[in-house]
Amino acid sequence: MAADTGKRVRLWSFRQAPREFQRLFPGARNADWVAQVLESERPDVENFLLRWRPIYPVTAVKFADQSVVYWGAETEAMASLAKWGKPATGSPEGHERRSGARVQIECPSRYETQSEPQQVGIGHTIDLGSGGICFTTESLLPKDIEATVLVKWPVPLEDAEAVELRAVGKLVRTEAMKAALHMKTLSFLIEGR
Amino acid sequence: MQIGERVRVTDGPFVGLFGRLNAVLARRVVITIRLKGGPVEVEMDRDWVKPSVRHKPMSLSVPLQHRIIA
Repeated sequence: MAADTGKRVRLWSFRQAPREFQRLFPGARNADWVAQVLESERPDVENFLLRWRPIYPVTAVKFADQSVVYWGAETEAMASLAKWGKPATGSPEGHERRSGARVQIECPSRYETQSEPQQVGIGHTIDLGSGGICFTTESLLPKDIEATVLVKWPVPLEDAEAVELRAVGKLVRTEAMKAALHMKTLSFLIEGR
Repeated sequence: MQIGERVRVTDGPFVGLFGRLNAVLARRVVITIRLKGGPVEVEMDRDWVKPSVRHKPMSLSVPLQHRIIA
């Protein structure tokens, strides 16, 4: 266990978690999260952490003092999506440039470009993968600019709260009514908050 | 951010919750959030917390049904 923590829950992105906790989860990626929960706090906090399991895996390691360290594999969310959609094959141009499995699934989406003039629109996803999102647009967007895409996630939390994916990255392909975002970061939001 | 200020969690498993800022450490903050069982003190990365603002964040406004492409 780490040094004295006081009676509080401690949370980190995996990248910033204490080394002894990082060693517990060798498959974790920097953007995942790690939480340390003491026994006294577990009744309140555990359900709140585990409610993310429909979206991505949450793994727990229990210590002799009954405290628990949790790993939320947020970056696995795209892989978890595979059971909800149809595997995508090929690319619109006929030559595949994307790596990793993609899933054809139509979820409501909204986008916002970062460069001026800022463009905002709504549409839906065409396919999603660990590397990016292909989505419909209301107009032709400029290529090679930063953008944020919000996607209504097809699965809610265990307590039925709706979730949105927030993906930030670069538009690597654009056409008249669709675009492809190469994701740099992804995170989840509770819908409406 | 100032001690006692109302803040919103913007990342991690507590995303979307509001709390009060209790302490600012080097790159960390301590906030109190209220769960079903009562208040809980949580320490987290500083950039996972933002001052609470009144405007709603960018959000999906059209509750469409999901449809798997046939």
